[in-house]
Amino acid sequence: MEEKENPIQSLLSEPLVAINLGLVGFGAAILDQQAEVVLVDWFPPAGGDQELIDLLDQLL
Amino acid sequence: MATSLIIKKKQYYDSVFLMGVNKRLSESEGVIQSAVVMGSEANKQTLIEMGIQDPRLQTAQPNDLIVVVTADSQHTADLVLEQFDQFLEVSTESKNRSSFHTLQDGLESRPNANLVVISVPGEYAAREARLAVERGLNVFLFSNNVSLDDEIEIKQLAKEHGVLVMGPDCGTSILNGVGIGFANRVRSGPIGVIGPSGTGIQEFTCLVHHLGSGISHAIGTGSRDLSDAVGGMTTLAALKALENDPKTEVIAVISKPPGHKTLPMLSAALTNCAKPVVACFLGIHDDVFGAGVSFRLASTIDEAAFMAVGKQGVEVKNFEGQDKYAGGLSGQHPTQQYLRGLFAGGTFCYQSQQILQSYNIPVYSNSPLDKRYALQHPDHSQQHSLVDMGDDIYTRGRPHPMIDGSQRAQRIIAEAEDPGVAVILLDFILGYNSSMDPVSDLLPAIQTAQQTAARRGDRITFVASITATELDPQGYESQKLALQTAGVITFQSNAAATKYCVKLLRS
Repeated sequence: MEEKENPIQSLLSEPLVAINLGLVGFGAAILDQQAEVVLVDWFPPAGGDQELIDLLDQLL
Repeated sequence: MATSLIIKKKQYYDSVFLMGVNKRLSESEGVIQSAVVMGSEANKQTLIEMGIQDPRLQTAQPNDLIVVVTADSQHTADLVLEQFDQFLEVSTESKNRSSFHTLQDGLESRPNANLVVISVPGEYAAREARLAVERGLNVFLFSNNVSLDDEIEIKQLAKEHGVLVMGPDCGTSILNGVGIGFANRVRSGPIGVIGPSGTGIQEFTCLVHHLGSGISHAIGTGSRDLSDAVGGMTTLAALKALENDPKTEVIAVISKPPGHKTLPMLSAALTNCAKPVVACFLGIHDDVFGAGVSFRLASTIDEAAFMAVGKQGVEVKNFEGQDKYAGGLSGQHPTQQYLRGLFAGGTFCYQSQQILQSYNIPVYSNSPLDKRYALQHPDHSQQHSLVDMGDDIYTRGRPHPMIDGSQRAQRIIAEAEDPGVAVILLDFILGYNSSMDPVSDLLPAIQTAQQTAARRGDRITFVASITATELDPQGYESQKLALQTAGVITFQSNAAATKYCVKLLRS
């Protein structure tokens, strides 16, 4: 059975495939370098309510 | 003078984007002061400290946009707010909004993702990092304001899942030739580098490029990784990864001095590494390490670059510029004797202090190596002073000097008012995500300072390091030429620029 490469070695040996959460400029710069990136239009979950976020995490 | 405020419900934008909007807003005619921020508790507190008393502030939620304008009249303040959507729309053109809103959305779109880049506000960053690590993903965590406890927990979790967590407070990485965060575009090659400082990595990678070699990977670790509390968890994981990476032939570690307990552990790991290692722990000399250490120790970042590319015999002073200007301070008034350094890069402020100290030149700073030389107020220089303008006091709610030179420009003009100032040392850091024209951001201030000194019959010498390569999007040659045309003496490294300042001060 083929051994699965560990995530760190995969990061260093395979083309970058990134998910960008936050500053749009960071994702855009990765795109500019012809690398693959998903731009996530992130905003605080549960309206930023920490108690609700904790509840949400317990449900997941 | 009058102040108006609006709250736009459920309109979330990132902080750098909003700083850009605010900058344009604040330049509107009649506007004295403005703020465009999300409704987090920290932002609301900052607005209250600014004197904004409006009770509507308390109703704002973290996903609500708050816009405050203080103008020369109520009419102007109201008018600017009425037109605010136009500012947002103009700016939104360059903002690629996506239909994905969570990490899970992103993962469903790219199940083969191997990195999550996180730059969300600190209070939410640890949660996103934890979710990524639990899904077996490596993380580049730019966000700061992540608690030390969270950092330790996330890094331990990363160890269990066999992933790398670069950060929190990680400014720069280069992975397989792709720069993440504030990174320069450099040649690929056999040298891998690990370090907690973004600007330290930027300078090292640029110098390796200038020396004709290249970078396999540059792995940022986050500013606290080599503290005793964190114990170098990311540094050690990165070292192992580069040791196993077939593209990497030489490994460099660039850092301020690690914690006392962490240093011997790191030293053992570097000694046991199967590949040649160059270490630069700014301020730590050979005598700290006992016998049996196999790695090479550099005292400055540029020396580390020379060692890493195998040009041990070449003197560091050969970096561009060092020999061109031997004129000293001729033409300056005898009372002009002080150096003022105004830095965007915290590591440069640190390294410059060390170099000056090594020449027994006492230097004050807002981020001092020696607490006895702490500036009484960061805004007021005294004698020789080096100021880290990326420090929290200058960046809370305001753009970092690598993105926006406004605060540094004001400080240059203020320093020139002091007739004791002989030399002003600056750093210009190009690359992805930095200001697209950092030199033009400061040139008017440099010229104003020169005119201020000239009116007194004085001359201030400007010295600058430029952290950049010719591949960077800003255009290295044009930036350098603009500085040199304005009479600024430029160097490719902070250490070379600082040593030149020492030469000037001693002349």
